[in-house]
Amino acid sequence: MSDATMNAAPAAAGQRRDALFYPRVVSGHFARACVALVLGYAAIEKLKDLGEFAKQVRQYHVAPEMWTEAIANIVPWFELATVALLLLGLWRFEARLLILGMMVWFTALKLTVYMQGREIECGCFGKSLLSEWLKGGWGIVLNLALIALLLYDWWTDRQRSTIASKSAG
Amino acid sequence: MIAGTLARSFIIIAASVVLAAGYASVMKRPWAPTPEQLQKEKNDLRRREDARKHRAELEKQAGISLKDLQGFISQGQAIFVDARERKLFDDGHLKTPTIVNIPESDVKNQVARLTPDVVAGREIVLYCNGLDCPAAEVVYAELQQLFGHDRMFIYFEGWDGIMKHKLPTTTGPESDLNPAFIGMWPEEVAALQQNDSGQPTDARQPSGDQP
Repeated sequence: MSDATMNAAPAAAGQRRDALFYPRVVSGHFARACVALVLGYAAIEKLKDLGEFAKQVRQYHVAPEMWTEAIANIVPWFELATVALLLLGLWRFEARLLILGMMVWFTALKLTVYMQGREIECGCFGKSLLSEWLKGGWGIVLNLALIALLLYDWWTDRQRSTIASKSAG
Repeated sequence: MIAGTLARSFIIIAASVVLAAGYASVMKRPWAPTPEQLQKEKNDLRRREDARKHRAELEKQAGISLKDLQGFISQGQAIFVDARERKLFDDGHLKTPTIVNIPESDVKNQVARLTPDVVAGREIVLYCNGLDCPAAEVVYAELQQLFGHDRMFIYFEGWDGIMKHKLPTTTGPESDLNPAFIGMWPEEVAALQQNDSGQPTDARQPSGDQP
């Protein structure tokens, strides 16, 4: 549901909105912006050195080695595409779903590596210092935080849609 | 609803692949690694893993904490070895009565300065730049061949740790390795030499004069 729909809701709908409606809407936008910012930055850092990112993908042992360059080529563009859709509000549900799936998958991978006691580069932000800092547990924490933000954004969006559709009805 | 979501998701993924293909062709990126590249990476990984294991063993064997380091500094009897390169040593090093610079690049020649009568009964404490710096380990290995490891220690946090914990630092030349002066501050050595000769002398040799 777009912002335009929400604004077009009848004035009577105001009665159905509780005091936390607008703070929730604003914080939802903020959560979405945070996710977009982190993923966008991650994608750009990866694009700066795709060879290095491919090497980091190989260290996860997540796919056959021959696929790793292709994965490294595609993932940053996938991140950029979903971030763009998330921000533009076009196919936002699908973009959110895909990002969520990707984040859950990455978290599971990092958790596996962490539990195996292997110390490998995070691979999240290419060769930037952040990748170094996010080795091990911190990378998992960041992913969980992004998942939480994404779910919160989803929840606020749903609430807004529900109220708007009730108002329209 | 589900079919629509799946179709749109598929379109997003397909669009990402198309964008990636375009970018890869412009940047001349490969779509698969070469066998040589994979072999080189595996060798690098193995080497790094070995180094990590060796470091872990050494940390158990010779690693000291900040508190231990401070203890050695205040006790004043230990010989400190700065394993960084000469220029870095000249720019600043740990302030302690006895310190010498034995850089990794010249370890074979420099290590000979620590003769048995210099190190007799004293601890040797090494440090280099920080956690990622292997120089102290190289110098340690060389010294270990000469003196054994029971009185040698490494402060792995190195110069980064010294800066971080604001330990006293100084610039200038190394300490005089005359066994009689070990554990004495340069001012004490100068005073002693002044008393002996009747006129003040510089207790520390200029760095260029070191063998």
